[in-house]
Amino acid sequence: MRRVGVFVCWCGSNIAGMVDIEQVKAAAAKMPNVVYVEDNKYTCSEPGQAAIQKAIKEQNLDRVVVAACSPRMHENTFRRTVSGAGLNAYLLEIANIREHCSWVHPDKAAGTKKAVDLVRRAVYKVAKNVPLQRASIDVTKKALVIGGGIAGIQAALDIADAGQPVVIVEKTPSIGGHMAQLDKTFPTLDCSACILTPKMVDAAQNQNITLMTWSEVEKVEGYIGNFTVTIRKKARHIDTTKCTGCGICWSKCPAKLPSEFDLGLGQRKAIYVPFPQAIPNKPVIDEKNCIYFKTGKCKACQIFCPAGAIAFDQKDELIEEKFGAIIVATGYEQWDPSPYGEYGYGRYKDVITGLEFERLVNASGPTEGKIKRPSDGKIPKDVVIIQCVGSRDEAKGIPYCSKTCCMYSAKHAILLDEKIHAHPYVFYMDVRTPGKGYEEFYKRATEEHHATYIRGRVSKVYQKGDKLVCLGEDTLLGKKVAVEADMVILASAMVHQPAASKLAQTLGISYDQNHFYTEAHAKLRPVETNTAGIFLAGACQGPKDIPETVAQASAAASKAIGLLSKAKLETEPLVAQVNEGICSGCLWCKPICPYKAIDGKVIKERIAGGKTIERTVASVNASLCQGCGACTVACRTGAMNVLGFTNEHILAEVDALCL
Amino acid sequence: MSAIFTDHQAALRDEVRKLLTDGTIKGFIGYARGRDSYHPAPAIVTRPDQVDGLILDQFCIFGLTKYLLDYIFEDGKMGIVAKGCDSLALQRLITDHRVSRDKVHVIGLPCAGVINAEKVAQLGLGNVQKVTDKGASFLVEGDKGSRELAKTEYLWDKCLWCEHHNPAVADSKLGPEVENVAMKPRDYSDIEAMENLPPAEKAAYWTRQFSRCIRCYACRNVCPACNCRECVFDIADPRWVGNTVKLSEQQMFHFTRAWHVAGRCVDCGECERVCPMELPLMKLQHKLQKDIVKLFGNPKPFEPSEVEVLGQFRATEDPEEFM
Repeated sequence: MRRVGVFVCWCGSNIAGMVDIEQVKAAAAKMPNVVYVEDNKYTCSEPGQAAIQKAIKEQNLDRVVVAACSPRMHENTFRRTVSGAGLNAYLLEIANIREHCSWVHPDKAAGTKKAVDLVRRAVYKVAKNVPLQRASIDVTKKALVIGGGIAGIQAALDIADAGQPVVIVEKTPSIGGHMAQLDKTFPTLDCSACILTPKMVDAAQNQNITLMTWSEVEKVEGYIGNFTVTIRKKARHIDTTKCTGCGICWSKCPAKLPSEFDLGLGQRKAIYVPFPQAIPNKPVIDEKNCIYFKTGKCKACQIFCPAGAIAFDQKDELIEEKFGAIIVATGYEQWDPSPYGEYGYGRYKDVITGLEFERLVNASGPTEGKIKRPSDGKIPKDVVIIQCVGSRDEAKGIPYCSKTCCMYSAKHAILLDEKIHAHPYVFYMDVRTPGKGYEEFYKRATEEHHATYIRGRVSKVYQKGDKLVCLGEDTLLGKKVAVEADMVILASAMVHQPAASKLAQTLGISYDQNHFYTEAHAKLRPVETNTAGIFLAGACQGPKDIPETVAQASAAASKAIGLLSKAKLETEPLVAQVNEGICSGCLWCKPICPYKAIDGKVIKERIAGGKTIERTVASVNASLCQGCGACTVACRTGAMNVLGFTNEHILAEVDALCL
Repeated sequence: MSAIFTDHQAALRDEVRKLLTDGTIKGFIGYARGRDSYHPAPAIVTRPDQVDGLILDQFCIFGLTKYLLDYIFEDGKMGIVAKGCDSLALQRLITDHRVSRDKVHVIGLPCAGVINAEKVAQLGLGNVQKVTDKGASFLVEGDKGSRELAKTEYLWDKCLWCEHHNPAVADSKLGPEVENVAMKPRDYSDIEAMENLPPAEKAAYWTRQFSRCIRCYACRNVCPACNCRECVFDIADPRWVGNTVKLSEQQMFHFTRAWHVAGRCVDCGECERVCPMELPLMKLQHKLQKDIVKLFGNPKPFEPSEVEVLGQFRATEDPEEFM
């Protein structure tokens, strides 16, 4: 005979408004094993918890049922409550009579009946509960940051400052990310490189940070505290220990190619550093376009390299390393506005994207900061900026707002006026400026820099002489407008990295319909993922500007630091267990396990006649097991059980609800 | 496509005698004469002098592979004779890690179809003396008369659409391989017809069927996919399914069994053949097969493989945009 105490929570009127608490109490009192019933206005409050502890002691309770909100909210609270009173934390069951009942039912009589059923289910189940013990596992005190943009750099710096080693894996030849491509930053107009490069240098010089550029994450195994990550270090074809970054190699290289960093507006060589402030300042050889790799002849770089650092025979290396925490900071891509055929992007040279404009206006860019039209190098006088290109357009682009375009378009308008006294015309749907100093910045564009804001979409851009005519509508005036522009800037949307879903699959994290990574809780756990030990920073989670990205990076870093600072991690005891006696050893459970926690093992057994035989049974690695239960449903015999959710438990619940 | 099992009977006996004598196997699982000439019985011989009791004839329908489970913890090899369909059953046991391939010596029996003894026994031909393959028909000669029987009418249904005439697992083969073509294409038209019935009619149909079940477990015992060390229906605690004769328990039993062998059934049809109450059990399996073909694009869900359609976790390759 168990001694079960049932504690029914009102949750103010959240539960009591739709469930008759007295009736639930009366019904619970008649349930098997129940010796004590009590209600509380807020069971999760201190007095509520104290009441449970008091009852456990005074009534000598050995099992507790709390009928309240979802176990996701307070199961851990009440586990601590009961263990504070000397009961094992797993001798507790929650009956969710709020989310599963009072919140979703409009009828009090029916709601009460369902609440009674839910309590009965928990009472039957708790009778089968047994004490479970947590185990502890070691934590590898090292963090991995995937992506070396501002998010990754900031997160790595914070972790390193807390004294923990961290590795940044960056797929391009240099850290810096998109922020390195920008010219000025809103709303203060400080130079992007000027505020970024000190952080890049800090990252490079920090003893606790290891930079792995030109590298990609290939495989991730393991679990929180103990991830084993395989990193592909792509062949740079440079001996970085010898290279001094003098630049002779790329000045001598005869192969000219469009520069990715300059978005094709400038050129690079086949051996190159993407931009002058690149870190590390060591080039890579682009194997696909290197004349030596294509024809077997040239070797100009090798001939001229004073350090003898060119290593044509270098191969990709696979490096396996252990990490305790992972921060994903893979950023975004600018959306390609080609689907808007009417804007002529790709057809007219002087129709460019916002990011391309950043390169045009940047002193390290292809025009050395002089704003010239790509077509003929003329300085434009009238410039049209079209906002929401791709954003907020489910038909051609993406459904969401890219959040940064209003502000960077205002910035572009200011820069156009400031630098070349060009007249900016901004076509917009709405101007969204929530952020400190943002509205003021937008005002500055219109008032001080005389940008003409026109509320409406551009329907067509066409060439007339050397002008680009932008036809549109001013919806505030209700009339058609035609602006003859010298250049058109498309404020193109921020979208996911092309390989975002692939990386999500490698990491085992989830992503949304726009391929941005999903946080564990939109409000309360914004930097965690649903996979313990993996955190998110920056635009890989959704469009963000720099201040937001940096804030999120520091938040993710603090989560990682918290994890790495623990001596040991406690594991949940709710893992799968094999009943070896009835296990057939078919190992159907093995390929089904998402965590690779199951393998076969050979056991010895004495059978009738005194003979000892060997047979294979399934075996669970408890620290890999996450208790998902996939194996238990795959096992026909029922030899697999998730502790706390055994077949016995489930059958007891079915009996409670159906008999 | 001429192959009469009886033609290989002598060769089988010779080979078994040799295997037993030279110690390759310590016992052989085959067929012996049963209660009459239409019903062979399983036989296990362990000595060369017992070998002449083994028979092979055109009525040897049932598979023998499940008897191997009785020998898994014993030393030495067992020999067995297996048709194409039986070899799928053997593969089932091997891929389920219940039988080790190196502990079985398989004598393969290429097969162009087995005669449905239950139908022929009705014809009053008396004791069958001889069966001759006439291409599209078999000539069955009994001591009270003889008849030429069209294969399409007198073979077991499963033999008509069989695409596994030659054993996939065999250490040696009796006679040459036979042409591996189905006499008629596998079709699920009866399942489609049932799918299209109104729910009430479907429910009435299956209620009628399941209410006749006597829970003898013959379907389970004969099934090569039902090879658990301990069957869930025999486990007392927790008892998922009660074993009283009661409609709800019977339904639960049959649904559970159908799902336990879903994606693992080798389509041997033995469950339905052995059912004393003649429940149409293969309809359940054919429905599941049809769904697996459609949903997972696996055209042959009845062929055991190392990676089974319903036995893997592939969320990381989920083609869905959402995880």
